Amino acid sequence: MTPFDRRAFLQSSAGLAAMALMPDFLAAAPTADEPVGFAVIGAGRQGRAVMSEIQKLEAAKVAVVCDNDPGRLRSGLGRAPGAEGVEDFRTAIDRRDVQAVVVATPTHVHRAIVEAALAAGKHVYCDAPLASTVDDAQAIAKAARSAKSVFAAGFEGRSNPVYKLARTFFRSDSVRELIAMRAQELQKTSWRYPSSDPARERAVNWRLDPEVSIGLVGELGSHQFDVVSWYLGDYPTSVRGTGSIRLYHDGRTMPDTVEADLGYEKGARLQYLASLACSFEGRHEVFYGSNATIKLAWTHGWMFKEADAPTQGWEVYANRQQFHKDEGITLIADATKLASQGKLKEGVGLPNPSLYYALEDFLRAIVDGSPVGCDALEGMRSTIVGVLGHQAVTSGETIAIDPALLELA
Amino acid sequence: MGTRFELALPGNGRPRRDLRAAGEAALDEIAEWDRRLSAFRRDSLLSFLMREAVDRPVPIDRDTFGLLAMCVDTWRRSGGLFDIAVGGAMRAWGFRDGIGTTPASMVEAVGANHSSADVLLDPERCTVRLARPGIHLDLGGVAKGHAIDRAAAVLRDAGIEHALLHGGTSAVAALGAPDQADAWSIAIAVPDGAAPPVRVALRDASLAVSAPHGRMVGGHGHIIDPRTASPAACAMVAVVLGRSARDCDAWSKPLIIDPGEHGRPVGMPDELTSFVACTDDSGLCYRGGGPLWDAVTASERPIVRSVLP
Repeated sequence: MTPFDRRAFLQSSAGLAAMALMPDFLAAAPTADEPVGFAVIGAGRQGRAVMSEIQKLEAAKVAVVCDNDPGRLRSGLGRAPGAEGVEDFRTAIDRRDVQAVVVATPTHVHRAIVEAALAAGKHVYCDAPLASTVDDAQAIAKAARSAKSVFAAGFEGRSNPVYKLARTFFRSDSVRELIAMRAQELQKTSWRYPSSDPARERAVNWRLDPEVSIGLVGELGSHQFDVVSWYLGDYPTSVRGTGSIRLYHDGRTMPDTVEADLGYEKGARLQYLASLACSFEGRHEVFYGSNATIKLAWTHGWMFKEADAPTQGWEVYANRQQFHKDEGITLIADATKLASQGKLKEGVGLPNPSLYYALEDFLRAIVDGSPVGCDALEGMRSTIVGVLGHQAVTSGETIAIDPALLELA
Repeated sequence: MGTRFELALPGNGRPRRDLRAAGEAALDEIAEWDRRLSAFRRDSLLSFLMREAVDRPVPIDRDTFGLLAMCVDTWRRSGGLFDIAVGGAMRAWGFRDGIGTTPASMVEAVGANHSSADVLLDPERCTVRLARPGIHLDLGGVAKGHAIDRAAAVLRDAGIEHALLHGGTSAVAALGAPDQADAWSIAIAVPDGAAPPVRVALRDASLAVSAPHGRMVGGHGHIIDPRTASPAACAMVAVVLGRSARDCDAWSKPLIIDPGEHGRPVGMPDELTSFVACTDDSGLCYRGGGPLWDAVTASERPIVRSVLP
């Protein structure tokens, strides 16, 4: 064996042994004798993405697509060959070939659809945030609790294999003392959608409508707050925020840039920034620890170890990425399998969009009773944190989050 | 798709915020198709098909099915000069990772193994299946044009009548014309300044350009002849005009590899116009054919007006 061969062999075998200690988070897709029939309510961008991911699941099929806009319905049907199109969500829910309903409409109209679907005995996956008011979020959670069917909230982070893997490190003391937390979602987009029909313009641009929208903190931030709560096992006790229009002086009143500060028990704090005016570094969450810092960026995750942190063995052979002066250990969801195939580097990033894994968890729950990624209660809590965060941005006041608000009576 | 997409939206009296919203929706559509069709992304639909469609027929959406059906049809019509199964050769030659050190034996193996015949499409069920494992699909020869077609459709749905979109300056769609003009004026550079740029006037039409100098690795141009799985000896520049940027994009590859005597590859649909710039004994020359080419006199060439009926 040449020196190079020997080194490669040693690296490969040692890496394999060490990687075997890491759990794999890419489970096989669920199977069923008959595919579960889905109705997708809402055929906008999110609804169409849902259809694309359902098509990948052998145990599922899109039976019905529902939208009250003919153009969007037509577009949605193109994504789901063989599905029927309907304009009224009640028609979709009542169909006998529909066992599961995905609610992908604007946030403020989720409640009526979820309640109707659960009352009809259908399994429901509701896009997150669940609602735009505390009352609606609680009502959805209550309806889910009373139902015998499966309910999943679309906080996808909890199903994301990279996030699951990173959470095992976070929960197993790799970070040690939590020093601080920071999260951001930066995009360069006006959040305005075109419509050739002026009568529909307000409905299409519901995110910019202060009457119904919970803004950047509610619509985007709630997903990231949910990740933080899931990692900490705790919800914030206070939130304060500010917002302003930094770029889009186009008649809107909804801020295009917001900052929020969330306080947790034991003194932990999350600094949050969201903007539509700048896309630098996009979306990520960072957990700063005394032994290591974990950075999560939806499809990717890294761990940055402190020089004095104990070595855990496996990371010696792990894939790494340089960020200016810091070196991150890449967190790979199916590292053991890929290491055994000598393809560790090819495993950076997720094999599917995170939405796929959330829907896969939902389908698995229907087929074999496994837990969903995010249940109704946790979904309600993160939604309420987002709603209150938006209120803090709007009012400029610090809002105390009553723990009782996050429980169901 | 590893390139820059741009669009220009003349005002024509519409509020700037509406134009921006429409432009963002069009660029979002392009970004979505990049996520779906990229051979470089592990989470793209294309990568999913390469992993899963060997074991079972995978249902896909109508748009993607239509795109794959068009690709297989173009492979058949062109006698294999356009082939989405060329991904293995692209990888072997280093066009995926920039290292062009492929042994000839690997190229032979890659070339012998796969073709678009291995892409099995069921129009009734709208499914795709791959006949043999190990196939590397690469839609780089058509994805830009397809994304531009879809983005143009988004603009039209938003009521936009005048716009110019391009991807990497090689695939272009023109809606209407800019203010106070009959058409969008496009200049196509001839390599090494061998001649003045070719000018094309584009209105409600599309155009695609292919040229080997666009990307070089290891001294080779990036256009692979699928029949040999090796970089092709090409014309200097090939241009296709037609209604669909997707069709133009796809047919620009057979055209540049083998333009024939008349600047038209075997099997090219009649409605497409094509021309190539190449060199012969007398120097730079243009060869072309198709409705727009035939409509202008020899003295006007290579200026082409693409105001389609």
